[in-house]
Amino acid sequence: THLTPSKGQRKMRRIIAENPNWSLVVVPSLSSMCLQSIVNNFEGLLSQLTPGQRDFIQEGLSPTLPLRVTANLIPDGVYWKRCCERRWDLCDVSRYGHSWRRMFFERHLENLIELFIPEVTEPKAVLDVLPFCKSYVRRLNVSQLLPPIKEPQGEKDGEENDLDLAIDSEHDEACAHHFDFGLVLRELTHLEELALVYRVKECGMNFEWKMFEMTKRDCESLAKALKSSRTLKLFRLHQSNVEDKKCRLLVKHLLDHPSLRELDLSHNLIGNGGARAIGKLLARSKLEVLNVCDNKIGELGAKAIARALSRNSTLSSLNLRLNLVRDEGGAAIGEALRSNTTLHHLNLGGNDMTWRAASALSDVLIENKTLRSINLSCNNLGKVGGKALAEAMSHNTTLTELNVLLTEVDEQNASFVSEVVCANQRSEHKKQRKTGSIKYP
Amino acid sequence: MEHFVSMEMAKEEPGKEPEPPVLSDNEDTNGVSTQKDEKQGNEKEVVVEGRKTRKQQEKESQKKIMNLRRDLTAFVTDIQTAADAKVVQKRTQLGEAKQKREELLEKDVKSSQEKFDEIASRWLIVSQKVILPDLQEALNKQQQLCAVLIQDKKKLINELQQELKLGDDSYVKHLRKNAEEIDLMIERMEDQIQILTQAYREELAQIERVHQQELKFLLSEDITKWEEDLKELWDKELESLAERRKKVEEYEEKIHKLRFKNAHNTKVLEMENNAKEQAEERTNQKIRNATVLEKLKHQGLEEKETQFRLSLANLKRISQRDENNLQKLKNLYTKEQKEFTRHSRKLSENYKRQIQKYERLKVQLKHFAVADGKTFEEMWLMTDAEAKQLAERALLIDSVICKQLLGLSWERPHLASLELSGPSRPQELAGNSDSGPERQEENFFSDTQEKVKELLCNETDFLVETKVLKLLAPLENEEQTDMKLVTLLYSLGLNDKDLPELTDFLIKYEHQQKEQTKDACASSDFGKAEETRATTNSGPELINPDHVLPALKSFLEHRRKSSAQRDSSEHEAYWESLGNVVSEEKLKLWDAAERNLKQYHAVLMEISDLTLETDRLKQRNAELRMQLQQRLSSTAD
Repeated sequence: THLTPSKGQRKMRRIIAENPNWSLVVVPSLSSMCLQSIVNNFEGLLSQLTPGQRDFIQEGLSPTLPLRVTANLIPDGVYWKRCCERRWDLCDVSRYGHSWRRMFFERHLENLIELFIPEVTEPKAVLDVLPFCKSYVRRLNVSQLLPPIKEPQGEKDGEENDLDLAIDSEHDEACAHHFDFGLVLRELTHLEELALVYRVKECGMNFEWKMFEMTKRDCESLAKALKSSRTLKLFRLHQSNVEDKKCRLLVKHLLDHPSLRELDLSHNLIGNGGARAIGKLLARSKLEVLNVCDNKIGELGAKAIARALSRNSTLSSLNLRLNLVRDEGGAAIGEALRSNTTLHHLNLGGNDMTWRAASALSDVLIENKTLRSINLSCNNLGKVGGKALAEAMSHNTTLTELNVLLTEVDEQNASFVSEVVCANQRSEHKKQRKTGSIKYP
Repeated sequence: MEHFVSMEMAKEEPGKEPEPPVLSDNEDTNGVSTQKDEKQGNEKEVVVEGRKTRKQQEKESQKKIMNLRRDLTAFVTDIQTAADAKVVQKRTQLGEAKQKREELLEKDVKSSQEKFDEIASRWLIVSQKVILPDLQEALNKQQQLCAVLIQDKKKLINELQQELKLGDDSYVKHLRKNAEEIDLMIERMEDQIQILTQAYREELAQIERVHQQELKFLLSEDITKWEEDLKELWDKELESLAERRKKVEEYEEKIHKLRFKNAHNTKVLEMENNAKEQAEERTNQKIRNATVLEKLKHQGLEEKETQFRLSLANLKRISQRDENNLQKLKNLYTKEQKEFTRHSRKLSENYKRQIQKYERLKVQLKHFAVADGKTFEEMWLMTDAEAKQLAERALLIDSVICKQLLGLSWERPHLASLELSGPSRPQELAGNSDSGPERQEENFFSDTQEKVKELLCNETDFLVETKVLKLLAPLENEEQTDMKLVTLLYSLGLNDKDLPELTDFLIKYEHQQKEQTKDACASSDFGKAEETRATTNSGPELINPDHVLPALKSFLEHRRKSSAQRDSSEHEAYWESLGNVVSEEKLKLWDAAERNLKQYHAVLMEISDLTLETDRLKQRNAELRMQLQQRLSSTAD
């Protein structure tokens, strides 16, 4: 046993001595070997490691690494959580589908857009990020859009009062008045929700009305951008002084949109013309939720929407709160509900309606079996309207919510209505339970 | 103005919007929980009993929660509708204001149009006028009218501006109110969420409790049933077991009987066989016994002989060894004896030498003692004479001082003691030295002395410690007495040299006693000693043992007295008297006399000096007289 190792040593030595090519220079150093292995496995570097090692790397990596490198290489997890927590105090990951990476990129992009100053900031700053963002961004919630610093050149607001949706394509300038979403939306192939507000936060004493409205050119570019996005499901445009013309422009591009399910144009200045355009959109899209509360839609607009509603078979929720629908519009919508079998929720609160609209709606309530909730608050329905509703409710078994607060309905009827609603709720609940019990044998 | 409304809504809306999701969440959770409840219910549908209560409980809790939820949602929707109503109200107000304004504007337009028309119509009149002053007047009027028109317009503009300001203020107020309301609503919503969650928890707890109760009930039922069944089963089993046992016992009995029979038969056969065999064996045994007996007799005799021989040889060997030992011991004894004699001779020689030395030393001692006595006497005499001379001299000086200086009569002080005590001492010393030869003589009567020693020891045993006595008991008589004497002397505080003196004293004492009884009058110690010597010489008489103790006592007392005499105070008194020949008073007198004499001496010295000077002056005077006479004589010449 003692001889063999020495023999082995001699053998080894002989091999080295006899090998004319052997030299220390040929032997690679450990560091170079490490580097080589990194080079070889650069792509799947993290996936080949054990979970413990991966965690270690994610814990240790600097969050300031360029996104170009990290975006696709590092999986969702601790690293992105660290990135988020470094930049923002409040991080509610549940709102981002429990994905820290998605949260980071969405908020990152939002920040970039919100701080984008047209004609000052290079559009490249945003565009550079898009390639890394596009596969993770699903929702954009832009809470402000800065106007350019310079006074833009004289607007050429064309005086078109035409009712059709023709757009003047005079302005083909590359630079929009606000940020041009056309560039972004085209790239983001997974975007599903887009919420915009054309306003400036914390403007202080620099207040100008212009800060809180979108220009025509903005509208145009936005409309085109929306059209170009094939995955968008929800579009929300609040408080941006959208009037009829802009509304028409937007709607024109949204017609036949393949994926749009929810449109929210609340707190704008849409009137009858815009309402008519929306009616057209209802007929030519798969909208499920429409929210146009706090606008200026009058009888004519309501009629147009009602007309579309009678033919539509996708809309399940309609919100016309705080408009000027009045009795005629209310009645028209009621008529439309006779033939509609999809609408579940209807909000007509604060529409200056009286007992006439109430009676028209109550006629419908007897027949309709799909409506779940109606809100008629803040209308001057009066005792007559209340009576009519109470009668209708006595025949209805599906409505689980009927809001008649502040409508001057007498207490008796109001309590009766609420009782029926409660009963309906209970029965609904039972049904649910039954279906549930069937589901779990 | 319509912008305000939208802005208000904008402010209001964000506060409201979070509400529905929260509620919907609650709904969802409720749905889930109810489904879970159902699941549990379905699982337990097999058990019919106790289901009703649980269902009731579930229903109740659901009802409660539904009501609660409705109330809470109503609470929120109320707020929303109230806000809506406010907005609507505001809108109508704004509309009215707008209408009013429009009317006002229209009116204004009309009135201004009229005025303008008037002015315009006037222009025609003005143009017709030719005379200058008239024209001037007309122009002035026109101007006034125009100014009025402009003022009206300005007024209107001011009013409108004020309205705008008011509108702005109210908007700001509204905004503030809205903010407050939003805060309130948020608070309420939070409260509601808490209430709801609490309610859910309570309901869940209740449902759970009910379920648990049911479960317990069912469990207990099951257990009781199970126990009953088990009991039945056990009973059956026990019965069957008992039967089995009985059967087994029966069989066992049968088997036992059969076996017993079999065994009996076989045993009888065996017994017969055994009897035969034993008979044969007995005969065989007898024959064998006879042969064995003969053999045993032979063997016994032979063994005894050999044993005796062996024991004899052993005894011989032992005796021989003893003899050897004895011889060795004898040799050793003779050797030891020789050595001992040699040693004793050496020691005796040594002893003789020592005695000789001692005697020599004794002679020397006596010689020195006599010499010391002589020198002492001489010294004594010399110093005494010197002292006396000094005393004499002192007395002489005293007498001179007294007689010559003080003129007192001087008496010689009494010095009789000096002359008496002086020569008495040497005589005593001589007496002491005479006792030496007497003792030498006594050495011849050592026998009697030894006897006395023995007596002394025996009589004064009690002075020696008992421990020592015990130790001395095994020794020979002579040694005992020696040791005892040593300890005794030690305890009495005497020396070895005092021993002969003591024995002498004791012997003398006996004689003394006898003489005392014969004639009461006794002479001095010296006389007695001589007499005792005579008696002891005449015949060896021992003291009465009863007198030993008192004799010892008296000896000790005598010793003490003599030692006290030796350092008597007589010498001191003698020397003292010699030292005090001149008394203290005399000394004081002397001192005073010395002082006076010194003073006197000083006066005398002065006188002597003065006499010298007077002599010199006289001489000079005589010389001067001589010179004067010469001069006188010369001048006369």
